[in-house]
Amino acid sequence: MTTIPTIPAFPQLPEGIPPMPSIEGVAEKSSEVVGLISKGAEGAVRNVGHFGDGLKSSLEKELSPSDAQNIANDMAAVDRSAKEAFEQLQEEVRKISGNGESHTPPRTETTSNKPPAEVLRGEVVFSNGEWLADDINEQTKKWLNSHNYGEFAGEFTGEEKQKARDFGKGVYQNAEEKVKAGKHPVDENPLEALKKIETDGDDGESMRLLIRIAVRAGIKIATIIAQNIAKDKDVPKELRIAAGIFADSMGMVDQIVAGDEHTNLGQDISRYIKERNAAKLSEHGE
Amino acid sequence: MGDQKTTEEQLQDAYDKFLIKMLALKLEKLEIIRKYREKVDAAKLKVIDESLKGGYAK
Repeated sequence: MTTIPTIPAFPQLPEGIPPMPSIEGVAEKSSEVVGLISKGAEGAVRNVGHFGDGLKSSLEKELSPSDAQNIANDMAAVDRSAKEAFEQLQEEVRKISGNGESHTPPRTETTSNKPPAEVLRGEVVFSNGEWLADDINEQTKKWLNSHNYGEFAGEFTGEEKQKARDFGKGVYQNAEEKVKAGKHPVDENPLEALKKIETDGDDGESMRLLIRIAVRAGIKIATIIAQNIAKDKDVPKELRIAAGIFADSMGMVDQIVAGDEHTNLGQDISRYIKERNAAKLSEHGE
Repeated sequence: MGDQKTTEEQLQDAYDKFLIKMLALKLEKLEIIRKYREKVDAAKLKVIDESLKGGYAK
C-alpha cells in the first residue's frame, strides 16, 4: 500500500518548526519514491521559504532601514541555501535512480512528439515556479533604476510576492499541461526549458523580471514583452520557449492592467535582454 | 553484497539528509531573527537607561 504524503500548496506555518513530510512506508518502485521525494522536497523548500516571515515582518517595523535590508538579505541567503540543497538532492536522486534496478523512466528525448505519461510521473520536477517570485539581482536593479524603471526594482511586498508565486505556479502548470498534451515540438519541451533556465542566472533573471513586470505593470504588458522575446531569434532557445509559455499562461489570467506610462517598457526590456545575451556570447568568444 | 542498500533505501537516506538540512536552515532563520531582535531590544534598553539616568541627574 502506497502512502503519499500530502503537502499543502501554501502551508500555513506556525512559528515553530512544523513537521516535515515523510516517505516512510512508501512504494516498492523507485520511480514512485522519486515522485514522493519530489513532492515532499518541494514542500520542504517552500516551508523554509516562508519560515519566520511573521516574526520578520513584526520585527522589521522596529528595525532601521539598513537593518531591515540586512535581515531581508540574510533570510534570502538561507532561502538560496535551501534551493541549492534542493538541486543537490535532485542530482543525487537522479544518480541513485539511474543506478538501481527499478528506476525513473527515461527523460523526454524520445522520437515521439507525445511523451508517455510515465515520463511526467517519474520525472523529478522539484520546482513549481516558486523561484520566479525571488528578488532580482543587483545588476538588473541597477539597470532598471538607471532607465527610470525604479518602481520595478524594489522588493516585493507580501501581497506582491504571493501574486508573483501564483503567476510562477501558473507558468509551470501551463507548461505541464502542454507537455501532457504533447503539442510541443520534440526539442521544445517547455518543462525542460523552464528547468534549464532555472539554473541559468541570466535567463532565470529575465523570467523573474517578466513576473515582476506582470505584478507591477500588469499582465497585459508583460505578455506583450514575453511574446516579443518568444519570437526573437537573438534570444537563447530555452528563454524563448519559456517566454512563450509565460505569455500563454498570463493570457489565461483574467486581469487587465496596463499603463500608458510604460509605452517604451517592452522595447527597453527586450533590448536589455538581447544586449545582455550578446555580451555573454561575446565573453565566450561566440 | 548483503549490506548493499537498495535504490529505495538510498533514496530515503538522501531525502532524510535533505530534510535535516532544511531543519538546520529553519534554525538558521530563527537565529537571524534572534540576532536582530537582540539588537532592537538592546537599543530600547539603552533609551530607557539613558532616560532613567537623565531623570536621576535632575
